[in-house]
Amino acid sequence: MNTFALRVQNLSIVFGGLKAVTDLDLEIPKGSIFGLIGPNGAGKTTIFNMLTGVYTPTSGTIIHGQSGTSLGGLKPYEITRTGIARTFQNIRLFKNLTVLDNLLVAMDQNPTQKKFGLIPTLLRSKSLMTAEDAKKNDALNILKIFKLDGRAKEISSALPYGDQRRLEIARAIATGARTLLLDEPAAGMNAHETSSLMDTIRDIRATFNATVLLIEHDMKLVMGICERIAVLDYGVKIAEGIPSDIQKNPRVIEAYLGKAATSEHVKK
Amino acid sequence: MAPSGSNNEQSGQTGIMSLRWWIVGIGIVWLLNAWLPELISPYFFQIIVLAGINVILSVSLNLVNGFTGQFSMGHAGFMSVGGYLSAFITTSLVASHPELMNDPVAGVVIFAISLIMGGIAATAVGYIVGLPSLRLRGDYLAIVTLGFGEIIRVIFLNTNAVGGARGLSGITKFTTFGAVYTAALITVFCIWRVVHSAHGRILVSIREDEIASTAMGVNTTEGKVRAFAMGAFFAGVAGGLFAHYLTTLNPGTFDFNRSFEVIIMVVLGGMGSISGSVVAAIMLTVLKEALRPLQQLTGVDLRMVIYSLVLIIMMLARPKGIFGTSEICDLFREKLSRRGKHPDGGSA
Amino acid sequence: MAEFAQYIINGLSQGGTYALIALGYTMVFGILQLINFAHGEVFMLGAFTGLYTSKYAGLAILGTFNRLLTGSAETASTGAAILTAIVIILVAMCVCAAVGFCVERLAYRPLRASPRINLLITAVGVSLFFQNAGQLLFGSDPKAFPDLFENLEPWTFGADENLIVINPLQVFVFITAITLMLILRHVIFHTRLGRAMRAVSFNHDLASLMGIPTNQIIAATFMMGSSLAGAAGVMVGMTYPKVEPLMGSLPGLKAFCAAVLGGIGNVTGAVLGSFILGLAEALLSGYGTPTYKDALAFTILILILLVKPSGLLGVNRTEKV
Repeated sequence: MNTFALRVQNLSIVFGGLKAVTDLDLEIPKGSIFGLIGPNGAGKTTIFNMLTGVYTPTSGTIIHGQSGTSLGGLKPYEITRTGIARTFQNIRLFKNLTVLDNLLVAMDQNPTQKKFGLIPTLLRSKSLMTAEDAKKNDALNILKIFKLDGRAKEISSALPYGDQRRLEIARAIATGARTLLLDEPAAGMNAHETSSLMDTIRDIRATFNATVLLIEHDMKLVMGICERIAVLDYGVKIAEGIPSDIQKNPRVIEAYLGKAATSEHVKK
Repeated sequence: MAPSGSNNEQSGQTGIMSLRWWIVGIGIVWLLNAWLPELISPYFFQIIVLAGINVILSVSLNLVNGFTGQFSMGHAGFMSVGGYLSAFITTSLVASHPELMNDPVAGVVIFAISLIMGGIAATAVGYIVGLPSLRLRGDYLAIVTLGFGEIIRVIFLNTNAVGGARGLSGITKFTTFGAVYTAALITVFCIWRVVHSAHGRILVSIREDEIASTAMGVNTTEGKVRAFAMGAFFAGVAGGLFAHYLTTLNPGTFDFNRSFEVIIMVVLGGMGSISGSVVAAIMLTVLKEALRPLQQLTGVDLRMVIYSLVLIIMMLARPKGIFGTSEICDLFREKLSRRGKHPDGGSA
Repeated sequence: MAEFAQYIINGLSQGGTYALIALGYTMVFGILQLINFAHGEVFMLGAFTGLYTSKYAGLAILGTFNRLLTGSAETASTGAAILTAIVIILVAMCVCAAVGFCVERLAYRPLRASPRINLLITAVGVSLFFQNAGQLLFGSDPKAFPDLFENLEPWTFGADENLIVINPLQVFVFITAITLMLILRHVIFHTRLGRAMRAVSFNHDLASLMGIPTNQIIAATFMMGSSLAGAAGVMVGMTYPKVEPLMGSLPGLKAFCAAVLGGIGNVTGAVLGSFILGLAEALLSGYGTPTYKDALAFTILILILLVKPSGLLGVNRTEKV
């Protein structure tokens, strides 16, 4: 068993001459909450897109700790089935489906779920109905952790914004993935929602023994829950370490605030 | 906000969607089958039969265009595959074993098998057409399916086994009220069950957001191709029923206008509403007949002009169609609950 | 050998027609990601405009040019014939530009924010509307295109078995297609309008934030594409010489296939794909089975989607997530 959830080596991607990410090395320890920060356009979401197979890296390898295999060449849905799931910067829920159905779509793909063919589907065989009920129960249990179980039957696009973000995380969990990539989970949330989100992220790490890699601009959240942080600027990793070190790192301060800035500003 | 209602029906073997009621339904159809042709005029009988075939077509196309959110314009192409193959099977059998025709049971069995074979052939063709075009995002499917109808037409035109340009004639009139409505009930039942299952959730998730669907582990290409192939199967069966009702086929029988008629039924009824498709199919079949006097009066075929205008205006004014994505029973339920209970407070 | 040369000539002239239609498809797709199904019908309307212009004003125009060039209205000259053709084509281009503008304004613009599938359904609706309204208006039987150039002798080369016949109109179609394509390329890559079009095609919202009048640019694109289809309609009417309301749908779809073959959204690709398709069809009819000709374009379409979905000259565009 590997001690890391994800290991990235020499990862680069070039878009028509523009080097969006250059020679990135990253190791996400298993069970950690890991932050990926950096100014806008630093290449954070691009890294997520490479990790989930949406973009094909120009060079480099990605190794998934759980299986010990390389993710190179896998399609996005195959990567999800190996146990890596993500959320999106601009929420991508199945808008006209209920909250519950959003989760069920993800659960159907969980590799541990029993699959049913056409005939049992048409006849609604007993084992299919039991499996469906069990699935629904599991989904409701996940929703409970996110305090969304009361809204299971609501159309997902009718949820308040913060709930939609949490539903996306719940949906990622429902795929059975234990490595979660969260793209700005607190974006658009107020201070109260953010702090409750921090609790939720800690909760799911404990409950599901999950590893969380998150992109975030809210420094309170990043510094509050991340055990390790990597800082990106212009597609290059400029620093990595524990939050207190990152806050003091002069290169990080420079990247965020320009030269002649002090660490006081970052803490704010 | 209306409840989706889409999962309310999942509770298994009870309610109107339980298997039991559908078997009863098929029984009633066969009871009527013996009586109906004598009760009503041949003209109305024809409208009823065509309405049944159109129900099969629109509900099966809705699986692709409505629930999966892809846009196929080749339903008539699949009809022609099924129609030609099943007609070819029955006519060759009748030619080689005329004695089989005197046995009504044998006739029905041969017909049923030929319909299923036609459906299977259409499914196979659906795979071949769907795989390259459904891999891609975008509207390629529309143009490929349209082109596919043309390819099929050209192939039949050049195949002497099915009569080439002359077409296939002398097909036995196997299609009865019972056959059409049994097939229609089975179609609606199967598609309803598929849509309200794990498979159906996958299809709807593709329609809602393909990128998110992939990110949840859904093999979207596989899902789309499956829906497409299943839609093609029922179109093939409908083609067989149509062929054995018309008793003659030629490469022009299943032209693009047929595909278009089905598309407008799906759009009008609501993409993603099975009952909407059923209602629209019946409505438009009747409307087509109702417009016939107008055609005789003006001497020109106004029907397609009206259809195309309806389609454009529908898209501009009410793109959801009559029922949107909800079913008739949802609307009833909503009305009942509104009357029974206080207004739902949870409509944030 | 002469046979082969004849097929090549026929193929190039057919390809020229496809190219003019394909350019409109590719421009509209490039800017709106919409398959404008009604484009083939614009082509048909162009042919009818040409027909009625020729019928009611053709001889007058021809006579005027003859008088200007030769001093007598009765003396025929190739120059006058070509000038007349150009005038008729210009009329059709104007009418079709107006049609394209109206279609965009009335049917597509109100739907720009709605799901793509709604736009596609509307496009199909518009296409069918023109086909059927055309049958009401013009009658569904084919109409003969007035022959304004009866004095124009086909050019022949060689004799007997090696005879090659070139209709001057075929050369005219070919040259016009190439010329219009070059003009279009110039507009797209070297003018302010073209730069705005490229910007809008890249991102509507960003373009409008940069002060580009997005709506006007899209309307202009539709008008340019439609006018090219109108020109193609007249030229087909003149060479084929029959015109009917359903004539647009098949060439329209084939031209779309050609545009995909070349790389949709790419102007040069559309022309390249069209010539390949024209040549392939001519050779298939010549050496193979002419009855399969109409299925060729769609077979090519399915094959190219399997092998290289972005087309011969297209580049893969990554969708932003």
